[in-house]
Amino acid sequence: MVFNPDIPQPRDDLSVSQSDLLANFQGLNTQFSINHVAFDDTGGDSGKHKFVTFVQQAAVPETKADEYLIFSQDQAGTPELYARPESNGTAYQITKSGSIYTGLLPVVAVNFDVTGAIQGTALNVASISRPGGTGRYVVTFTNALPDANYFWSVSGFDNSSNPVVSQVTNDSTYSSVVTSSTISLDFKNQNNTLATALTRACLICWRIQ
Amino acid sequence: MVFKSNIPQSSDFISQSQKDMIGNFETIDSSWGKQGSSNENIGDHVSLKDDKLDNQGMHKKLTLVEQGSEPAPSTNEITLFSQDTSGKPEIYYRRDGDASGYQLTSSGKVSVGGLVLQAFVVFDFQGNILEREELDEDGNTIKVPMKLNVASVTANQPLVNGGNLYGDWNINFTNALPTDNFIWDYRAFSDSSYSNLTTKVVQAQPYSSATYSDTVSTTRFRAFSTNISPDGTTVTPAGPVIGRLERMVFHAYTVA
Repeated sequence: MVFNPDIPQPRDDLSVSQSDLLANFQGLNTQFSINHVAFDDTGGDSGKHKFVTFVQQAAVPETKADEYLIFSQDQAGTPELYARPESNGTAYQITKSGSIYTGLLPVVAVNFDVTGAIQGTALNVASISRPGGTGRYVVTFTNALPDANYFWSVSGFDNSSNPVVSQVTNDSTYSSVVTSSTISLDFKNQNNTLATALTRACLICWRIQ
Repeated sequence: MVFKSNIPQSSDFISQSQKDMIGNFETIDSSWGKQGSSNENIGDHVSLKDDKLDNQGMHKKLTLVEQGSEPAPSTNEITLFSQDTSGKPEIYYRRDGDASGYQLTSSGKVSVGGLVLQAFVVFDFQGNILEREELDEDGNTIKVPMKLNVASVTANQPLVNGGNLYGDWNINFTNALPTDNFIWDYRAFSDSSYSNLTTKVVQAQPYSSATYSDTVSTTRFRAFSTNISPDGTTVTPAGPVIGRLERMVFHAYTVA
């Protein structure tokens, strides 16, 4: 039943007011309990939120001074969360496609040893091979990326006193070393030979969100 | 008093109904949110009795009680909720059409695409953590250190003329990272004006060691620098790098 804010009226019969009041109390408890722990909860959590459902807004809601707003708006056909600072500041997107929105999305991350064994927990890495058994590694992604035009950063070290130059494998053809599902990495000594005794290395890849 | 959703009943005396109704109004008032003078931390909403009428109906904060199952959104809706993750509640969101929710927080930090930024710092060749200037809300210039979870950057060898000749630094974390198998990235750029070294490039990298824990632990990351030759010939010695590193950037991540 729809909540009735205009009851009881002075002319109402007591029996009418009783049913109106009963319906309002029931409606209040039911509606409040959709997103909140219900008024009649006995566990001490009444008034807190179970979860928050954001109904997509057609227009950006307004903010006054000392307020901050979170709301939902359509983004390419799917609702996403947005925020707006105080005093009608510029609203900005805070989620996109299942992640916090920063503009840059990590899509691959891994820490691995000389054999290519993944150390700890990796992000979107199925395996790392070591063709040739030297300082060249091919990282294979669990889920292919939408294309090969992503950003990468690779770094490694060994036990020598000389530097380890960490890079994507040299090749004149981009697709030979960087694809949507793999990336080839080289770790070289300063005399341009592949390092064979890598201690550890890390790779991170990002995409524009 | 516990809220009674089934009052008043037709058989109730009006004296009983009066007590029940005032009890319900008190419970609604309490559950909704207390005023600042009482305890503004109680309840998620601005008090129904708040002096500022414009604030009534709004939220003070959002307490998300952990859910046993994911609340599914209807058409054009998003749900924001908390769910147990390795024994602790974390925040998730789920959009209309999603098969399941996406995790937004992890162990007190924000998770972006499943990766959590655990530490970050920008520092110079003297080991100073750099600061950027910005205006606060009063228009005053404030300096913001360019760091996250980094307590200090300390030299592992004595400074010479104020510089760390080997670029040998310990980046010390304020709070220990959850694992030493984190994903690190360390970069630098150098000053090419040193004429006696213009045929060399400075390489900034993790400290060279066969033992991982010499370089990386949950409490610090050891950075190092060496000279290399752009033509592939060996530079002897590989150090010192003599004041050619202008800025160093370090960041560390874990998978959520």
